[in-house]
Amino acid sequence: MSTKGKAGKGEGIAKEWRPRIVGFLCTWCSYTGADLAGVSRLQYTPEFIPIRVMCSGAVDPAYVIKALLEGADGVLVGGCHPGDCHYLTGNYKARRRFAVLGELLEGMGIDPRRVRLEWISASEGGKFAQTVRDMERQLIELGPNPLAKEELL
Amino acid sequence: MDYAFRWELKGGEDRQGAARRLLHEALRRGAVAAVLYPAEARGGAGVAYALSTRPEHLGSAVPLARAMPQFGPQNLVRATEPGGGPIAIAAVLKPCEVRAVVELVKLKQVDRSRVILISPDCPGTVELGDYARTRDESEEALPLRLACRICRRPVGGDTVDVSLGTLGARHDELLLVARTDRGRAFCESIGAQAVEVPPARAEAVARALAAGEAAYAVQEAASRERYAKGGAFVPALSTCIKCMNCMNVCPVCYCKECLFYTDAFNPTAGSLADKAKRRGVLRVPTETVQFHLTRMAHVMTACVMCGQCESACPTGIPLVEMYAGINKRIQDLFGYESGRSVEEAPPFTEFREDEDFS
Amino acid sequence: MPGLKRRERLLKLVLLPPCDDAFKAAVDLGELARQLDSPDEATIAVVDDRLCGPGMDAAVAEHVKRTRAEAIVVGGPSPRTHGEAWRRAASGAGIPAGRVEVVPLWTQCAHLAATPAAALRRARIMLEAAMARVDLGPEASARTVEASQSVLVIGGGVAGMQAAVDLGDLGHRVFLVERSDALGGRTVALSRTFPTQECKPDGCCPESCRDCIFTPKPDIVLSHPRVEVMLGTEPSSIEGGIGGYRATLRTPKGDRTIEVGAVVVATGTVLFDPAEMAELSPGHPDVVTTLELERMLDAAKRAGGGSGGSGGGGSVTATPLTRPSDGRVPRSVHFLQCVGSRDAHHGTRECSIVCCTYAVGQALELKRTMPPGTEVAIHYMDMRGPYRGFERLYQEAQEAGVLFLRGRVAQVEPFHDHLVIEGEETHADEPTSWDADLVVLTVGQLPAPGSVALGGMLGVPVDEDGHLMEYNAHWGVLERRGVYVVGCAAGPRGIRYSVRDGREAALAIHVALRHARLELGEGVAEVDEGRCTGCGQCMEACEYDAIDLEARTDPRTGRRRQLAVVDERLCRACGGCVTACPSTAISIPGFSDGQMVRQIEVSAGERPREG
Repeated sequence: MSTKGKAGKGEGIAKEWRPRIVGFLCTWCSYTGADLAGVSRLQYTPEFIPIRVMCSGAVDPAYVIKALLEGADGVLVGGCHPGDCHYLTGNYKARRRFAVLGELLEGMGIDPRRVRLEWISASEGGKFAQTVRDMERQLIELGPNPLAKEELL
Repeated sequence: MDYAFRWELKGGEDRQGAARRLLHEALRRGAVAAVLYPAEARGGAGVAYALSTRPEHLGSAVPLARAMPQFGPQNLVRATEPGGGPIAIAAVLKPCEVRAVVELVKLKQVDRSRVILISPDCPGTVELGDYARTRDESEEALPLRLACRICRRPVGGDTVDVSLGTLGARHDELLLVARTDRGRAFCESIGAQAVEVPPARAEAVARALAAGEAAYAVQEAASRERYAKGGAFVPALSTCIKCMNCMNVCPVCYCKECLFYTDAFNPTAGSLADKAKRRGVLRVPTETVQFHLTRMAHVMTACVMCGQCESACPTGIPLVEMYAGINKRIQDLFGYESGRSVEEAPPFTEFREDEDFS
Repeated sequence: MPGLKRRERLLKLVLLPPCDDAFKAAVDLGELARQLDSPDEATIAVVDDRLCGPGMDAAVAEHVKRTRAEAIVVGGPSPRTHGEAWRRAASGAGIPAGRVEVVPLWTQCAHLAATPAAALRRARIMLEAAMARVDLGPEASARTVEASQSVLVIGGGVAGMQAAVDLGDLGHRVFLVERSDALGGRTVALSRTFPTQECKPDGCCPESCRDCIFTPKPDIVLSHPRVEVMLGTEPSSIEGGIGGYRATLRTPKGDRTIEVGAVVVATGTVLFDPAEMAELSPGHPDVVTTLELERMLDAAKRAGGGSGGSGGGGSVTATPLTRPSDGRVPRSVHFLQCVGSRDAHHGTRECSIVCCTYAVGQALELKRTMPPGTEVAIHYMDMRGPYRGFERLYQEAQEAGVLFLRGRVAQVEPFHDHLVIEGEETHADEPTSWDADLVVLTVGQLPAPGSVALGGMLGVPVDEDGHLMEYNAHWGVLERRGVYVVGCAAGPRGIRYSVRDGREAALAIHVALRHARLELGEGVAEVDEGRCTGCGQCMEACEYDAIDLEARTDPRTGRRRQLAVVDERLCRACGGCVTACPSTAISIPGFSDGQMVRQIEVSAGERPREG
């Protein structure tokens, strides 16, 4: 259930919380898919902020951790479908790194569902928008990232 | 194929003395050019690693010491650098340190061909600071480090050249188990007596490994309760002062300069103020949780659970307890065990097309 | 705050081109610019119509000059589609590519927010994230490497010859290597091509027709002052990257190594050998391939000395061809199409493109030269004529009485003094059989032997059938810079398109190599030798073999040790090595940790400045 639509008029009025999602999108596939979603006017939360990277294999888990510690409620990493990576195998390696990160986060009490690695091709504007919508729904269920409220991190 | 040799205790010496004599023989007979070993400080005040090329200086060697100074594997990195040291070094390292050395070999930081790895069966160690007061305590009273109490691999694997065996050995001997051809040649060259591998050895080793697995499993469950479910992670790091000792002593943290010493993850003066303004309140120095999580993400596939990180932490952060909940699980994702074999490539450089971790 | 030292920031120019109507409706650009303008943040924001048209470069230059900006953030277009253009405009104004950020507000912002205030807020967050990132943008422009102007052409068929001649004409030194002992490739075996220009009564071919507009001439290649032809020669190894390839050639006189800036692969195709399809009786003397038929037709023509061209008004003065088995004139000739093409089990999965055209041409020729009443039939699955002129040929063939039988042929069996074809015909309910005196197998085109090995040597992917896939249509880029696959090596095609391929590649190479130093546009990975431990993880991670460990002097200790070294010609700037290195001792300018962290800080937590 989305809390969308309750944005108050103008700044200053307290808005209902909407999850902030940072997206690391690979240039060749998912970032282009995001462009396509935009051209097609597909809707997803404006609290999703994209960051372009060359390849999903270039996303160091340290960046994802940074995003979570800086206040993101969730992080999406978008890569090409296995077998289609423009740089041949970057996404396979990303898959391993993010399996480890997921275990690590879970082991330290951070819900691993806050980090999602998803394969989105350049032509899958629909899948991109749907993924972000799904993530928002999931994050609303999970609630705000507890790390964001920690003062001394 | 393992080969066994008997190193008989002589002249009323204990096993420690026999081990010391073994190193003495190795140097005296020229089996190796140098030995790296734990040495006891004057009066038993503490233990430190020493490097010696002369047999007459081995009087303070305590190869079976119940303490493990930091930087054992890192010493080998230095000693095997091109131009760094003698050609053949015998290094007496605990099984966990040897596993770390194996990881370092894979990362081209240690030249394996220049080292003979000798590893005693390890019943566990105490904190360095406790060594002096506990060196004469009985086995049951020893305050073993947590990493040792939950150690899954108290015996060297086949990456070791020679195990200094106490498990399955007779009271009047050290059982030298040579796991490699080089180990075998070493044992022969010091005049050890070749024997059949006694069945007692395999049984005792199996029991020790099983006990280790069981202890680890209990801790893993407890750690997951505390950290995965209990929310203990951030509070546990509340005393972190970002001294970075844990990273510095970690044998598999091999970077010349840690990422967290660079500007990238350390806001410079101006942006520190910005950040404080943005967040309202900012812990300083910054990036403590970032540091710990990133270090885990980078290192956990190589971590050998030696526990030196926790031993070096000045504020007592329970790192071993924390890592116990994830270390095996993470390596199991890839069927990988750190330090098990030089042939096993570190997981992040490989992949299988059909693997799925969801 | 008194005494607090202000952080040094680059002076940033934020350009908001007002080209997208939907975005303008969603966000008040003037208000956005006003909110971004800030001397404290060293930011100047500009909205300018001229940024939307041909005056864009000039407008950018003017604003940069006026503001003395050191970095540019463009709010609106997508870097995927417009990045190149804006980097060019910035470069023209003296701003290096690493200090340009293009933010896709039109595609990834405007349409998402419910209210103008929310849209404005989101635009500000995305722009401020880009500003934070560009603040640490690298000063240097893209790296350059020396570019050898020579070119290696592998294969002396029509595509290779055309590429060689054109490159030579453009001033490049060309090494043309050919495995066999003659130039001309497969066209040498042909005495006619279809559809023809009908310029000569005896058909056309590359050797005899001086007026042929389609094909390059071997003697022009052999006499070209800048083209060195090496016959009986093949490459045994090729290393390096664009601008600097080192090729070792195995020549009849021994090995020779050359340095070239680019490689043209023109290794062509061979005809499928139907010997493996026993069900078609390929060993039978009266079962021939289309090439063998071509020889037979040519021989018959020469014997007859008369006409026989497939042009209009063919007379029957030529000696009709005879059957190999008994010398009789065949009363019926049946063509079987797609032998070894479009087949998962024999030959290639692909259509061989030219076979329908030349089979129809040969069938028409037979109809015109054989005695009246000779049955000429073509068994086909589909009639495919990709080239202009085919339909006319097809029409003529039908009018001349060639039978077109649609359906698959299962087998050809000898029977008494002729052959029986068993198969199906689309309109019949049951399998059918036909008698034929002569059966012609229209064999397909397969990549030349060794294509897979050559692909491996060059780092170019090869498809299941052995075609070299140098151009990735998905991404619109060459898989391997500096390697151009032309002609049938990339897939079956006809003569005129093979020739055109060669010509186009020559021009593309000329453009790529035109400067003595080649700019590596994407930026390449750089190693900080003081931080590198020589662990080799980056080398393991690199898919392009661009990283090696070599003895270098560690600047921190002065000692020699093995450290990572990047071959900039091979680096694709994918960032795989950067993630593999735990201390980021290797990094890509423009994607540094510092930049990423800044961008993440704003994207994850930034609330826009008030005001």
